[in-house]
Amino acid sequence: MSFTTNAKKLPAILLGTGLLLGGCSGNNSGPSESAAGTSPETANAGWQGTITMYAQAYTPNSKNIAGLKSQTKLREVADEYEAAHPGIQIEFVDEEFKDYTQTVRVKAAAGEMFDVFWGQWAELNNTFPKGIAEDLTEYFDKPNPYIADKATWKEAMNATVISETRSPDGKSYNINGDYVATAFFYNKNLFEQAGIPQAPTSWSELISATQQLKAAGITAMSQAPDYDWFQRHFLSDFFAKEYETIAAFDDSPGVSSLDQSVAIAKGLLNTSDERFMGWWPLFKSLTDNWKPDYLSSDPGVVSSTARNDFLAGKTAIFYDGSWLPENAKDAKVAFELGSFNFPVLTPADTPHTTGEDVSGAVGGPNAAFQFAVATKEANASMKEEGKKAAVIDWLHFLGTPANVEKIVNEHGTFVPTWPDTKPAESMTELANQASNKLKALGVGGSSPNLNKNMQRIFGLYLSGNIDFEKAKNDVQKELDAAIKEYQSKNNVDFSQY
Amino acid sequence: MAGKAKIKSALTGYGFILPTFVFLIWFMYYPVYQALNGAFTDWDGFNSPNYIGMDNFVRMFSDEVLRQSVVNALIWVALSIVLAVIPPFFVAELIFHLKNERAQYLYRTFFVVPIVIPGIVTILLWRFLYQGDGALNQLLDIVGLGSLKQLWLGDPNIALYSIILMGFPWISAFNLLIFYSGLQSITSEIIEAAKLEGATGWKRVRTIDIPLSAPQLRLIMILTLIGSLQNIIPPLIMTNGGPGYSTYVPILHMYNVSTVNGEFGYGMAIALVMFVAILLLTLLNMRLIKSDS
Amino acid sequence: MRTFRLPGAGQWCLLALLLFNVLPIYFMIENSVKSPIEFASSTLNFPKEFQWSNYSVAWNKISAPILNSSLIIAVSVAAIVVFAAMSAYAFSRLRFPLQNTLFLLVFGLLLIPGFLTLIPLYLQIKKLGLTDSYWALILPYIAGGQAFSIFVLKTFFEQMPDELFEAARIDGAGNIRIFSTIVLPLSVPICTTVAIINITGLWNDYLLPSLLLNRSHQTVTMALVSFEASTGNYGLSDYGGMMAAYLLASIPLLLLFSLLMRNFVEGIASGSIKM
Repeated sequence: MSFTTNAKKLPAILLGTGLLLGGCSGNNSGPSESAAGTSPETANAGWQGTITMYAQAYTPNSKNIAGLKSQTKLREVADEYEAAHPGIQIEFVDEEFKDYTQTVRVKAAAGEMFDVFWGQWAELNNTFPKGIAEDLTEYFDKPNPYIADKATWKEAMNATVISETRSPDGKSYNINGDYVATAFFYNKNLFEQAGIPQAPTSWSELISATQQLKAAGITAMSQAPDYDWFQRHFLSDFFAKEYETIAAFDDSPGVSSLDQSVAIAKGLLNTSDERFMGWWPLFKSLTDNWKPDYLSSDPGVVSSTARNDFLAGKTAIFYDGSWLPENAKDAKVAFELGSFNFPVLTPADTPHTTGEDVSGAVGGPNAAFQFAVATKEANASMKEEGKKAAVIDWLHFLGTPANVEKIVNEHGTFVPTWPDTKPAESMTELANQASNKLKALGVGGSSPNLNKNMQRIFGLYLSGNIDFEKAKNDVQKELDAAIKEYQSKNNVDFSQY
Repeated sequence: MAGKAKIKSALTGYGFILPTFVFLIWFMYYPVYQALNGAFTDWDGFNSPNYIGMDNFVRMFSDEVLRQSVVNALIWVALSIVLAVIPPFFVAELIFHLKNERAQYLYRTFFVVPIVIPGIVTILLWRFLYQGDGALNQLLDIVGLGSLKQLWLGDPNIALYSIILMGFPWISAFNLLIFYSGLQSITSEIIEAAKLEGATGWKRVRTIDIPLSAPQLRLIMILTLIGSLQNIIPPLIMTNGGPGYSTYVPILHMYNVSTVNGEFGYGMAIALVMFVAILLLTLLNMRLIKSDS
Repeated sequence: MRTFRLPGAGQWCLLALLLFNVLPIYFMIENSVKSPIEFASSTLNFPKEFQWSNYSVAWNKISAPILNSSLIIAVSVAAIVVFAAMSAYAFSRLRFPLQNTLFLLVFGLLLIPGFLTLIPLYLQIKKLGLTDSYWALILPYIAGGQAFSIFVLKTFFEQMPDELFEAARIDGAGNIRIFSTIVLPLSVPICTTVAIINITGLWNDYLLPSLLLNRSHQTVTMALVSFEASTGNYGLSDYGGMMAAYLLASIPLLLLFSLLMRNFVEGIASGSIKM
């Protein structure tokens, strides 16, 4: 190992903002509702000390995290808690991590993981090593002492989110409170310049808009087309009628990774069904009008640059998550920003469409309010007597609809998903997506590599480097490999479904 | 007497290397030993490893991605060695032959100054230059070679070369200094003797400078071999292995497998195989270019 | 003294290459005053608006870390070079059993990618209980710089004329004396080069400092991480600010190098690598 072999080597590892929007996954073995009326859990049995928490985008009073405007709500909630529980302090980790996955691996191995930490469900289920986060299912099934009117904690949460984000062996590793919406954002000034009076409301209008922009000498769109995102729009539409069947494979609501894998094995979400890739040529007719630079690139690598290009007024349309309006404000963009949803498709666009409104299919419970509790193996201080109960109690206090709404809406780029919460003003337009039933379909939960590999094939196809037949073959190979991996890692027998 | 002298010599030798090895054993060999053990397990970096024997190594054979990355690596190493040797040596010679010592000093300094430029800057610059409407393509248009325009990072056939050739004019400060010191150690007597025999200019370079720089050449070649295989930043930051797998290299594969996916056991197995391969190549290299002091 | 003339073409060639070589520096300078939007819209062009605030923001971020980085690196590199020189001397000029095997073992360390041994290394560092002190970084850095430095120095020590050593031994000089009065002074240029390479490598290291040091002891690379969009923020990358920060951070490096380069020259002039 050498730190100094080559002067050009910069050991710093960078990753783009790329929000990990994993495919819907989560399996459950159907735990029954616990008996209502159990007594509230005794709070910290006398444990005193400091609870460390990494709150990611909700970190209050942050000095070290870029782009985080000063927010205070989480600190207020913490102060409330501290006042009611003398002897306990809540300390927020004010750090930015270039490579969070690597940091988590190292810290957990050394037993110094944060007490409460941000972790997206897909990573907790698939990527991070097993055993670094506590399984919170038992607490979900019991009452939350700070939510008086609900028999169990999970009744205050979003049921579909819970069942979709469960791990293949039925565990829930985080409390999940917010949702990120996505849309096509556009530059109203450039649209005017090209003579487009209003935002496209149909697929054909979208295509003709990009053509008009191109004809006017304006770059219509320039980004790496994210396979994971767009597959969800199209597949949720094409397979809308089979949604219930697929979701039912694992006997619980929502599409988990087991559901996906079975669907692949059964030839549904599979190239043998012509709808599975039937949208690729359709999508290519759109991307043919994009700037070709990023078509075959990795979204994680180029999204930051592509976003900056859009904000600098060089491209007209940019498909992104709901954080973009904030970015635009911070950058003081010189144009008026608008947005439009993914359009509802018509039979004229493609024979496979069912006409469903799938504008909300990409957004997911993959935002910032995703907090897990470290196990004592990953965090030596959790061995202290009573500490785990204390940390869970803090989580109880934090995880109430009122607090979730308060904290999420202060940041203003995500939508709280729990019933009894309302989105922020700035988000109401995009929040409509969240209120659509989360009936999203896609593949990717079967293996950690599946999405990345599909992305590569997708990019090569859209950029014209491989033709449709080759793409189909490669895709099938990837799917087969993924379910084989899923089968062996989770001891599943697909024939019983 | 000879025995005693031998023991004394051995003790002195060990004495001199002792400080180094104290540090190496604690911070290097022990972690490496632990990580190497992982090659025979399914270690995920956190939980206790389970011994799985040669499974990791067997897996390497059916790993198509690894195959592609090895091919890419061979290309990378070959090109890197050429770029690491020829331009710096050329510039070293040019500076060396300047008459004015002040000019020598100035040029040497200015060629070394870019060493303070962090890698990320070079990458940002070249990512920008390589864009479809970026400076490189614009330059080709201006010069009238518009037909040669490419999507430098978007075309799977040339992306690899684009990344390797990033950093024109490829004058690594370190290599330059090494070659320069090598040239300086050529004594003036040899130069005079060569002049007497009528070997001047390029002839002298060929027959005297290059052979006498053999140790430096060997050093740079070995370092470049190793360095180019360890250099993860360009493929990671510029394309993350894409488009497709055209810029995927073994070090990137190891990184994705271990740090991203958490399969440290498999990653270490790949590293072990590469280690053996490179060690053999290096020994070969050392034998091919013999040094005559 | 060289007496044959280099044709003018050579000088032109050098100049052209030099210009291309410093292009990244121009890139850094002209981008250091741009806002993120302007950076995105016209990266290579001269800035239209000068956002000088980039420099004040950058200075606030890195003024203290520069001291931290400098201290850590100064100690580390000094130790690296001294220990590596000792080992290189032993490997090249002394005879002891197993020396070739041991050298191969040292050399082999260059072949191990850092991220694979990161976790065991981190645990080793933790065992010493030195969290959040400079030593937590200095000690592993010293270890990490050995392999490369020993490899390079050994090559050069091997090249030194045998007569030097024979003469000294005949005079009755012991190894330590030979090392300190002959080897070290003569190898100042190469030691300087090795030091420079180590310095630049460590200066840019982010991973280990980020894991081991708290904000109070943070290094320059840690301080600069907020300029780039990464996990934990959904903000914009401020490359302009980053360039300004890197320029400021390179000033101590450049000062150091100008000092070292003088050493380099003196080492050549005073002594005799050529006899």
